[in-house]
Amino acid sequence: MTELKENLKRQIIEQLNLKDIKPEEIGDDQPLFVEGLGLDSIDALELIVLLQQHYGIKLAKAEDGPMVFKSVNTIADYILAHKQ
Amino acid sequence: MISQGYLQIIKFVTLFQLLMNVVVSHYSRIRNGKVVSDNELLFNIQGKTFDQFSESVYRQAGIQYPKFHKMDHLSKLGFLAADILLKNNNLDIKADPYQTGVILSNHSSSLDTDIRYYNMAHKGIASPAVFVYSLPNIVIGEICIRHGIKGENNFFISDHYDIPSQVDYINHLFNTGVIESCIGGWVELINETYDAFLYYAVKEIAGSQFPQHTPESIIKLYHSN
Amino acid sequence: MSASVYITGTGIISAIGNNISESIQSFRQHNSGVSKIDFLQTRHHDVFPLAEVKYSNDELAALTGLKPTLSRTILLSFYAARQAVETIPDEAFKNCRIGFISASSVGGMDKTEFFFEDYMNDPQSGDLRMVQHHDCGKPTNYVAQQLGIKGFVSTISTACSSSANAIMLGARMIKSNRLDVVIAGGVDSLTRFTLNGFNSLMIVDRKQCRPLDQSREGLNLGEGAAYVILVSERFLEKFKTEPMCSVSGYCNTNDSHHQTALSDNGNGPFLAMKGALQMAQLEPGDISYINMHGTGTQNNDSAEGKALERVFHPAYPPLSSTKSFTGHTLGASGSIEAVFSAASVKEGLIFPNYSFNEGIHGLSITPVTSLIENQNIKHVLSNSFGFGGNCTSLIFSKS
Repeated sequence: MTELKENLKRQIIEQLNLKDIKPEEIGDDQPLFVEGLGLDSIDALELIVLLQQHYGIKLAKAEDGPMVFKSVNTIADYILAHKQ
Repeated sequence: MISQGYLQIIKFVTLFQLLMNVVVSHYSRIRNGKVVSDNELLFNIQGKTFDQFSESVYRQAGIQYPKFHKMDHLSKLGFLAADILLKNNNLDIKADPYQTGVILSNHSSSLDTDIRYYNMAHKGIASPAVFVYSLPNIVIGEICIRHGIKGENNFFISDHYDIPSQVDYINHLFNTGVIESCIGGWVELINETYDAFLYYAVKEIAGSQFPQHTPESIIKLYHSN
Repeated sequence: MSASVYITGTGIISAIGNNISESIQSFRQHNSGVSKIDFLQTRHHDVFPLAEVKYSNDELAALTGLKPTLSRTILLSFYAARQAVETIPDEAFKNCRIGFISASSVGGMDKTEFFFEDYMNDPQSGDLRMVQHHDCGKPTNYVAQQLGIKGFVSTISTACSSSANAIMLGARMIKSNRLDVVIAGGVDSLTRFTLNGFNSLMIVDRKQCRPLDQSREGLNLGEGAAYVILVSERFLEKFKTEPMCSVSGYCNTNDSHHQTALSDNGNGPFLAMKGALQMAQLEPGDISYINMHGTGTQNNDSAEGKALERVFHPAYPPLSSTKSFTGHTLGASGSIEAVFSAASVKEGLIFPNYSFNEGIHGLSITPVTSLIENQNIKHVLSNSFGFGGNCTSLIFSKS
């Protein structure tokens, strides 16, 4: 699980071009949107692409995004629950 | 070959100079690794890809705007040229953001990003973050968001930088009271070839020695760097 | 400022008709142009409906006399532009200063994306003739040449407000006496690039779109072309022409909020509408009909709705989104809706939304749901908002 979260942090930084941020600066429970990393709606869509590209999971409804992508923890939980 | 339309425009620019004096107070130019503002060479960074070059300029200019890293190359180019133009010269838009226009043009539209998007989509990855930049006027959007500009904005596509047409259009906006200041210019990028030229036009400032906003003065500025 | 720019003719082709009469008939019979994909070759064939022009490239070529191997963008553009140009008196065409301002977001990409596939597999393959009209400016130049226009030719590319901006520029060139006649408008054809791209933004509806409805789930992409003939008062007198309407107001602003989303309060749209009203010297109550941008996305309809509320509440004129019939034709949408607006003034029509069940929560906006005829239409407001925060409002008036 720890390895998954570390990988996720690196992938998020790369996928979203967060050049000024290091993986260790992203807390597992830190809110990714609004405050926290200040991500926006396009970033949310890119995270959907990330899930598909790296983990083969398709998030069909954009509305589920805010819940799934709330933090690294929630993303990791979702991946473990849905990975084929 | 000079078209009829071109000649008409040259004729009418002279007429508009009499109605209102618009001057060019500042400009910026980015190409071939060089960043110039008002005749001063600010940075000279050779031997780098555009990715590396733009990153260097961003850092050396002390810009802090994390969203910069998400932009496509065309938007990065225009963003940097606008930052150098405005921030470097302490030009404050906030007084009346609806009275400031942005009128730009280029040759390649957003082709550089279109290709990048297509390369990824071809492999089954349709990236929304890349797709949003597959329009040439997004660079205007980024400049406007950064500097709070809300006035008239337009983007033209042409084979070459049609300075008389652009000057004419901008003068018309001044003369009809649509704007009181304007960022005009050419922002072109395809692969590793880039050329950004932005200038700031404003109603005549008393006692200043700035050149008039005419095709001749813009042509001179554009070719002098 | 008094109205001194007039529309004397139009040309249009879209999913709901090949000219304005056919389009009006589609509204009258309540036939949406959104349907299962016929022509575009895409892996999303059974997933998304599109509003395609109901002709193949071969058929468009036969109708226009152009080569079928040309970009669909050129074929559509020429079809509509020629229709508009045919309304210009011969003597005027020969003796006046004529300009052509066209807008597009796609350019010749419909051909390029096929070339690219061959090229990616083998750099030696692919027919280079497919990419010669890729640039947004190339279809404009090609069509201008075919029409015999030698004067001012220009291409605008500002996403979904492109052709509205083309009309705005054309009006200015008439008013400032640079040109006597301007053929202004735009075109876009459907491409896989566009469909895949919009799908990646998750704003495409898998069903018939429902603009202004609480249940809306996105837009339907469409294609088409439309042009208006803009002339001066002098032209009307000289050639004894009756105008369809005047272009009495226009305004363009930047929403300055996000690359693709409008601000929650619809600031850019609000100021564009206010600016156009101010220029036309009208009060909100003077507007007879609003043709909204109304794409059917969550963001646009909320933001535009909010902006409308700020301008018109509590007295809203009849309004609708004709994109529910034509789909969102991107670069062509501004001019397609300008042609509808001109017809609204001339024929006394109020165009409908295709459907409507429940209004957007928090707003009190209810669109018209069937074509209303024989109205006294004095002023029509038409909105077009593009990615990059580019917001344009146009006003067409009875002259």
